[in-house]
Amino acid sequence: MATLTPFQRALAAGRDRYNARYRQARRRDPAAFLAHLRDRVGPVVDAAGVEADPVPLTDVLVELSLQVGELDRAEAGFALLRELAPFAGVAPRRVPAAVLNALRHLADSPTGDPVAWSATVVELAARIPARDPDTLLAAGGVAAWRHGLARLRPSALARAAALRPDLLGIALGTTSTVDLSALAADPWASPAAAGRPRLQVVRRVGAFTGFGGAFRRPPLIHAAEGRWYATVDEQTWEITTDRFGHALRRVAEAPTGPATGDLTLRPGGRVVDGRDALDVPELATATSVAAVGATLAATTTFSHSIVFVARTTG
Amino acid sequence: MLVEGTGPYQHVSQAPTLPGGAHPAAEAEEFDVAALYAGPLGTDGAGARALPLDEKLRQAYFWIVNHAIISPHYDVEFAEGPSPSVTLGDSKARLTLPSGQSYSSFVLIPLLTFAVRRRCLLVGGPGRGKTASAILMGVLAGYPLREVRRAMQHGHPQLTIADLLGTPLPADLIKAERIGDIDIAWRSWLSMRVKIVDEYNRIPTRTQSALLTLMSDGYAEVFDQIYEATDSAWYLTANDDGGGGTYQVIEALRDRIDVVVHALQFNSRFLGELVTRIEQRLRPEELVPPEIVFSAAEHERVSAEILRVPLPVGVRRRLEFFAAQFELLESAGEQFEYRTKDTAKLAGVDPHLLAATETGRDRIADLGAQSLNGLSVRALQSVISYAKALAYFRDREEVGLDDLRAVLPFVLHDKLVPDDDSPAFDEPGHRPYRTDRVSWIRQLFDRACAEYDRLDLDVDDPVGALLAEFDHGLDGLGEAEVTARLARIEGLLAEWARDRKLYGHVYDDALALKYLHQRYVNYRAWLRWRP
Repeated sequence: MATLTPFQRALAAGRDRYNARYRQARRRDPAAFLAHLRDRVGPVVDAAGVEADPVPLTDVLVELSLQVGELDRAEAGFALLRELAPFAGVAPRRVPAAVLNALRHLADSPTGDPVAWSATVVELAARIPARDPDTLLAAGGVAAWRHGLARLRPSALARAAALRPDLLGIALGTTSTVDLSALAADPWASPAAAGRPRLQVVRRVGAFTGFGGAFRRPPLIHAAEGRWYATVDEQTWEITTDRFGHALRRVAEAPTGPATGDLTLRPGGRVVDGRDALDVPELATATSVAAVGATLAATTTFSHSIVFVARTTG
Repeated sequence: MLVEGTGPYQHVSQAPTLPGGAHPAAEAEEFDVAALYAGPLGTDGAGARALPLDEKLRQAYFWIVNHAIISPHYDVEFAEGPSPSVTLGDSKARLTLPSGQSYSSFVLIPLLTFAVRRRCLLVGGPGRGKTASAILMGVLAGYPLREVRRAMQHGHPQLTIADLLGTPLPADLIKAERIGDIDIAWRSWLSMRVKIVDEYNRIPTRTQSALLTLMSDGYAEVFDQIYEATDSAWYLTANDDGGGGTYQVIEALRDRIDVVVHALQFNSRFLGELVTRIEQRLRPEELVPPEIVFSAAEHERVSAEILRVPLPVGVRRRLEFFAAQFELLESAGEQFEYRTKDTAKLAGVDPHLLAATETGRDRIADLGAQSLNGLSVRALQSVISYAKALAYFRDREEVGLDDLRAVLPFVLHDKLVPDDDSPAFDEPGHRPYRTDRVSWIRQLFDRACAEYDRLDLDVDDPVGALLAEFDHGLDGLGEAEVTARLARIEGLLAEWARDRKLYGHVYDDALALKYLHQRYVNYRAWLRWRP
């Protein structure tokens, strides 16, 4: 008789319970779910090093599988979990849910890149012992910032300070020594070696609702208390943006605090900061302008995107 | 909100479960890297927004009553304004439709026990969900179901102390030269925050004593080795409330139980839910949603938060007045302090026989005449804990009279022993109190409160005023003032001697006045001695 794999033993031990959870979840395609368990869940359990007690990890993965909705959407997540299986075995209640949730957040972000993040996390995992899932998740958070989740910036910078240099380099995609204070000071700075700062268009944020964006009309921009806000009619969004990505978050209303920047927009679309100038012709018809530090943002009649210009390296 | 792809059993009532409560919902957390890994998927509730623990407790309650225990009994009633009622049948059975959020005692009381980590006895016939309810509490504490089941102690006539607590290691038994060298393999359940003893009245008497030590003092002892157990919520079950198990339950063990709750009957209108469960082989204890599971830290915190719920003076006074009713037995002693039911019991005399000889008081109006004992300090501590827990559960700023009234019958269920031969039980409408102890205790409290109001003690409480005056301290008090206060105490007692019968609350007040008198006398003696 063939030896049962850890996953098969866990299924046998909890057969009634898993069956009850399946029925209770009222999924409609038992064959697809069985295939999912066999092809995606089983390999994670069997690779996790949980031969002694595979039940906790199996419980979690079955439960998550019941929660994910369309199973095919979870394929990439379970494939990544297979790569991270030893970590899942050590922390079954944390790692699998964390990884699947992170992939969802990245996929839902306009600038998130879940595929690139997965590759980075696998690279990180190869250098972190499985008994240390905390470090993996912290480094994964920094990598998620780099791969498009701009809202993670403040906390990712804080976590980055505690990472080993080699892990930090992998997370931020550079082999150079990372100057975290430079990254903290300049939202557009590259983690790689710095060049001479110059004025440049650094990002365009927002799109027409008809193309999947947030704005039904070209927005107006303003800044308050160091933060960016876009408005369309009565609707207001807070914009978080930096070198790695951007995010829009609906807010009730924008605050009315002061905001000053070093850059100004001259007629004809010329952005100046006292030392340098950059012509951005599309800003010749700007409808609103705001500046924070060394960044200027402007909107125009003809676009649903907000143009960000900054003096930065890279 | 239901997570995509899950069924109703994973549905937790949306917060707030009690709109308009005293404590607002927690502020949204600061955005953090941790948010990357949070929700919507999860198995430990980490993705859920941090809710106040009282809200989490209510969500647990509603999940249990909606999905786990079929107990459509709202016997813990609260009113938010007028509540309509009807009377049905020849006995004029009153059915009240509460206007406030009301609860099922069979779920609420075990849950409050979980929160305050005390000891709950679940009684009722076989197959009514007593054990299932206890197991759910273990799962709520975050233990895997199989661990809860394995840790549950099943009472049976052969259960030994070693079975219950642990066994000495065989190698040590041979090698050890001193008893202290013998290591004990302690049973794993001792370290759990939820402890379940099924059918505790089938445990042999000797083993009951070991259980008593564990329950009351929090430690286990085998071969001179001590195991300090953690603070736990205890659930004991018994098919027969009257101690009719295989073994008589020792009184000290019964006394350690803080609260008793009945598993009420199954309502046949809910058979459909049972059918669904059988057809789908659903076991609710296997489907407890992670959002309502309490970590060890949360369990600790919820207990601490409950203790901080204030008990206002007005409510405390009514509890004092109620508790004072029961201990007095005038004919049990000669010295004033010994005129109690406890004196009679210690002498082996039935308090009822002595009470029957008393003629001074109206034995129907006297609440104390309906019980064979008074209330112990332990019982009052339990009352206060559960009243605070209920106020916390109901998101109240402080304990209300309704909270106190709701928990009293369950806490005093086995602690206040009725004198079934009391003429009060022969009064029309009072006969059901011989069998319905919950209603009996509740009406005792209602009558005590009515008497408290009749005496207008919230406004005119001379003993309370004297105690408050004393609480300000004796520092700097001159002899003249002390003498004046002594005169007021003596005057008050003299006034009572003229025109007041000795009821329980008067007895307690008289003893309190004697206490004050003694303190002032001693202080005056010190003043006179002082150089």
